[in-house]
Amino acid sequence: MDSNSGRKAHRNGQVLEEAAAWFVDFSEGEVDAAGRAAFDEWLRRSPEHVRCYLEISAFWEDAGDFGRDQALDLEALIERALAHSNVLALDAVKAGNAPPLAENASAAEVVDVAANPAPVSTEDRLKRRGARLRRFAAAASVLVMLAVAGAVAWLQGYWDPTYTTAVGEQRSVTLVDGSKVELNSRSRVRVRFTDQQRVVELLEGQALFKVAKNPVRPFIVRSGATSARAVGTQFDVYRRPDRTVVTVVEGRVAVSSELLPVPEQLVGRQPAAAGTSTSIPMPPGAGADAVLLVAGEQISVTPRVIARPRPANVEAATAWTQQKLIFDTVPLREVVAEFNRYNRVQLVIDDPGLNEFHVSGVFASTSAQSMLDFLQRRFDVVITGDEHVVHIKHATGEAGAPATVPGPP
Amino acid sequence: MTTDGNRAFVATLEQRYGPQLRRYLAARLRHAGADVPDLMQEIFLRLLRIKHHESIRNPQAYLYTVAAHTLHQYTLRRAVTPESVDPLDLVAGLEAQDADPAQQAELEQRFEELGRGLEAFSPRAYVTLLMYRYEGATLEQIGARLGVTRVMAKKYLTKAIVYCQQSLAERE
Repeated sequence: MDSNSGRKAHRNGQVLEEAAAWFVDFSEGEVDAAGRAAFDEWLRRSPEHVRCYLEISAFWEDAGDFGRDQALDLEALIERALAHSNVLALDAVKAGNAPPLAENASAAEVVDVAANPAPVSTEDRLKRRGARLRRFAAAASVLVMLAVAGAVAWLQGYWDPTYTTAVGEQRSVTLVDGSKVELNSRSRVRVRFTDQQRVVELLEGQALFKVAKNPVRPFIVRSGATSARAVGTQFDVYRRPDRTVVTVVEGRVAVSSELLPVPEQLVGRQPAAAGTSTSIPMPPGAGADAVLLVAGEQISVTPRVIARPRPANVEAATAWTQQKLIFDTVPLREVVAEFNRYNRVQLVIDDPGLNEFHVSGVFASTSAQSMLDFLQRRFDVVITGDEHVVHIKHATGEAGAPATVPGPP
Repeated sequence: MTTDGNRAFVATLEQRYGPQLRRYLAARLRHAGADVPDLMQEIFLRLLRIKHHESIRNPQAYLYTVAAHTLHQYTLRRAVTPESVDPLDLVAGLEAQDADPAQQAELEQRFEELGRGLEAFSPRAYVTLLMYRYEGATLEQIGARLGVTRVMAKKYLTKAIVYCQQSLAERE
């Protein structure tokens, strides 16, 4: 009891704030050698510090696992947050002196908002209107697409070569310039070459591009609003429903989005792996409007955010070309979604509790059997189904569940 | 068990069960079982014995590795006949923990509540956390979106973390 109340007292105090500040600094990569020494010293001061840091780390992991599935309209939440503090800012301006201390915001927050007119600037309003328009456009375009999909597909198929793969089919296409496109299961690309540039539109799914070198005629892959531009290299583009992921296998690729400016700190960024080599040609257009990636890097672009490039597991990202799927602690729901891309037999998770099982392993993408066997061996699950649908659920009876787990009472 | 063996075991554990291991440890640290302060003390003492932490670049992974070592040895020592303790027992515990749908559902619900609470407390801290954690947005981007400086975006993020930790602690 004593230790418990002691913990709470600490948590409400400075230790937690310090731990959170350290955590954010490390997450931002802002801690230099002197900072690390200071952090070491801070850690050694008390077990409470260590505990706080560990708990924040655990929270961070859990938040990653459990928040993602919540269907949140982030845009609406941002609008609400902005509206909320606009009211505060106006109040502060009206008062003309000390800003009122709102219940929900710290003094610093109010001052900052009051001093910064950005939330109500024209640019911002335009941006927001742009976002609303985009949302409307997205909704409208779905309707239009449904109405004329057939006609458009026929027309475009007529004018530009389009390559499509069915479920479970993979295809390798050599384009007129000598570049090769490996098309993954359930994918579609359209090729639009001109004298100035080589444009391939990734309409659906995933493809690995091995680009024939031609410095004066850049090779551009468009996936929705996202573009990846190269002159002679190898890279993978995966168009997911919510984002496009570009993984560079070889050479350099410049990635940009029509919807977003490139974040300032990513402009002219020197990728760590780039070294001093000048032999790799820079893709044209890799200027202020694009993020430059080198081999081994991956970037994810959503309609709202160009994420910071990360070191990628290239082998895993391109394993599909060998009919393999590599998972490294991937939640079962994502694993199932991947298998369903490749196979006509569709997997269904019946227990939501199974969604967050983490699976690691290498499986043949052509059949889910090995993965299902693995699940049955490792976890307490029952597999039922026919040649169309396979259901995955918990074994009933709890026979295999050890009762030794320490947990909440 | 040799140090090497122990190290290899922990490495495997971390590699295969990283998230589960973290959750398991967090649960043990958070829920005020009688032996938790002891475990924390041991983790701390072990940290003190290691000389150069200054070279740690990823304290999260580092601390968990240390904690996992400690937990492992702790479990070994507390067993009546240490020789008969199969490291797999520990792993079984991890799997079972992750496999319990009730616990999963509870955790999910807790995060929903946490989100609602945080939004009421500070809408800006809430959207900052969401953008940072789920969209991979940088603090600069968040600042630009919210019309504040990067420094302020960072404050929102810290504030969000502090709030969540406090309300998680209060629930127990």
